[in-house]
Amino acid sequence: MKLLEVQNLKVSFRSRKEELNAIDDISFSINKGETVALIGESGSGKSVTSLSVLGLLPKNGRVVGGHIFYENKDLLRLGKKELGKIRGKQISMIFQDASISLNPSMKIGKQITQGLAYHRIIARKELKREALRLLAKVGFHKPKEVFNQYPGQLSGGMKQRVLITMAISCNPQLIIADEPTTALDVTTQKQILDLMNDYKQSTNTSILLITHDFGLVAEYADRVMVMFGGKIVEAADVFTLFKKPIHPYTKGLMNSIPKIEEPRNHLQTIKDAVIEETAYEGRIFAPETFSADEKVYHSPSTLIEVEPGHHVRFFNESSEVLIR
Amino acid sequence: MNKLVEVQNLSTSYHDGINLKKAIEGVSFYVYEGETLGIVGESGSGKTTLARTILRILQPDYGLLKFDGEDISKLTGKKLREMRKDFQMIFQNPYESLSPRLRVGDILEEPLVIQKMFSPEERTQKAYRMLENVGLAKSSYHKTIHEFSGGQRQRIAIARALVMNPRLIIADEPVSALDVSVQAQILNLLKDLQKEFNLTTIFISHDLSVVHHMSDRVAILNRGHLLEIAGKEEIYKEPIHPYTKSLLSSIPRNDPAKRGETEEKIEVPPLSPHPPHLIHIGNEHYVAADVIEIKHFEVQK
Ligand SMILES: Nc1ncnc2c1ncn2[C@@H]1O[C@H](COP(=O)(O)OP(=O)(O)OP(=O)(O)O)[C@@H](O)[C@H]1O
Ligand SMILES: Nc1ncnc2c1ncn2[C@@H]1O[C@H](COP(=O)(O)OP(=O)(O)OP(=O)(O)O)[C@@H](O)[C@H]1O
Ligand SMILES: [Mg+2]
Ligand SMILES: [Mg+2]
Repeated sequence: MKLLEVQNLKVSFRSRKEELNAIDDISFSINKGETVALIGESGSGKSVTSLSVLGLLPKNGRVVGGHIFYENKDLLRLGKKELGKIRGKQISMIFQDASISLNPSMKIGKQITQGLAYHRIIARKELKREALRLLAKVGFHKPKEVFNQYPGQLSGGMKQRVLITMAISCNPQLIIADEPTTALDVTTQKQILDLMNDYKQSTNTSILLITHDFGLVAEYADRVMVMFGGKIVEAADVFTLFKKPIHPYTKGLMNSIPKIEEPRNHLQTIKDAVIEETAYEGRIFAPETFSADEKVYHSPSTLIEVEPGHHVRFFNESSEVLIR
Repeated sequence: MNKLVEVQNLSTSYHDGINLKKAIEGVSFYVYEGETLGIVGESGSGKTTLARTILRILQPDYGLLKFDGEDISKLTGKKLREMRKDFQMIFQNPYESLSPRLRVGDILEEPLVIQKMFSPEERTQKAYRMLENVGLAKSSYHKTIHEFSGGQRQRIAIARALVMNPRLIIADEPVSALDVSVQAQILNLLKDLQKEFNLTTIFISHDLSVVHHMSDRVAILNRGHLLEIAGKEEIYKEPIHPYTKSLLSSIPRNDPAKRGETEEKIEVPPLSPHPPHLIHIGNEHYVAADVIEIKHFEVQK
């Protein structure tokens, strides 16, 4: 059953007098109990996609087209109040930057219990105990100590764990996790993602996992969407994508991570990778994928299903390519 | 080989008026000139504290801190300032560590100005040369930080660190905030520059694959204690401390097909709250004594 369905979403930003298309016609859905990963490099539009779902785009950004259905309600057409009810309670978000999401002058314990009190029916006396339980659950060895500390007294990773505590505290249906563990060490990362995964399985929660780490995708995602330049360039179930990545950008991303089993002196960069390949079975890959640095402007490209459930973006041959 | 950095029994704590928190305790290791020592440890294990103590931004409670054979743990004033020329740090977050108001040129020249090194013309020349070294356009000189992407900012931070011709670079999670494709560029750049400038590096990261890629030797930190240190191939292939083993087993395997396979779960016994003794088991491989079995003691004797 589909919990979230995004259709032909387009988002643009106004900066100086220019209108910039950050999200260019993307469509995807998330089923109940499913983990969908959104992967791509910085600036590809991952965060903007998730902010659109929550109606939290910055002031100069706006949705210029499409629909976002959540349980068959179009979130883009909901009033502020209704959206507020869904956000935080049914959909919770773990933001990329822990330091902006926490109030620096409020003790951790207070921030958590406040959230708990707001969203859940829970006895006042129980608040503290519940907060301590959650803190222990995300791996704090001394939850009581953290409860009484200010964000500034915690290391980066500890702050991120506090955010995760807050996100799961209201029993959401969908968790949007934007690079939730980028700042964490592997053991804590594994602990947190295992925790989110167990939580997902026991409650049938869905997760939209935003990351640039293919290692995490391999371990936790059911389906994967690879984003580049505001578009999805490849999407498939996780097994297919790892066994048979097609788009050169996907391959480039996979190869740019250092691998312990295959050490090499220099790492491959995306550019090295994408320049080598231009075609697949006679179809040309969409040129926008090669244009990160070169000034290549182009017209539409299309997602084609190359095998069931496996979509890849190719150049639409009926359109013209403009090279400036 | 010359030991450029040597720390013995190093301990640093934070005081918040009432409480005293030991962040690192009894840490001992050395770094050879020209090598890269990787430091790995979970969040809060004391990696940044250790880095800041070595740079003498934090004052150690006790312990020996030697740079090029000289104890610098108690240096103050002019001597300390002078010694700092030889050390530079690259931080995780170039957004926070670089001044947003200054032009890139000023950012690069600032450390030279502080240290009263070179004439203004020479400083400018040096700044341009550094920009070239880190692969940025000459025109970057006149721009401000907010006009650059995260990866470019980290290049600027690296240029600023290198402009002083330091002998030691401490890179504290330098690529953790970057996405993988930019990470690859920055790691390649760092490796090239290390060779070119014969840099000694302490490379801090929680990413074991990145540390493996960058380091010659690797040290494992846990709750302020150093638990194991060895050459990288040895420690990755034959870790001895159960904590190291459990750490290595949490590296994502990059293959969804292996997901179902349950790994042998590694139990980490409760670790002593006191700093452990490190035992040399040969081949510059040191392990915390409280957990290793007798057979490993025998290796050494
Ligand atoms: N407030 C804004 N004003 C103008 N442009 C913006 C704004 N926020 C984002 N953008 C642009 O939208 C695009 C997508 O940005 P987004 O933050 O979604 O990237 P991302 O994939 O999340 O990257 P990262 O991995 O760095 O977080 C980028 O080109 C970015 O410059
Ligand atoms: N300014 C401070 N005041 C009080 N305690 C601090 C301060 N900075 C760090 N600590 C504590 O010292 C310990 C070590 O912190 P440190 O920042 O060195 O860890 P780290 O290994 O760098 O972690 P991370 O990977 O999250 O950056 C932690 O328990 C932390 O809470
Ligand atoms: Mg983002
Ligand atoms: Mg740190």
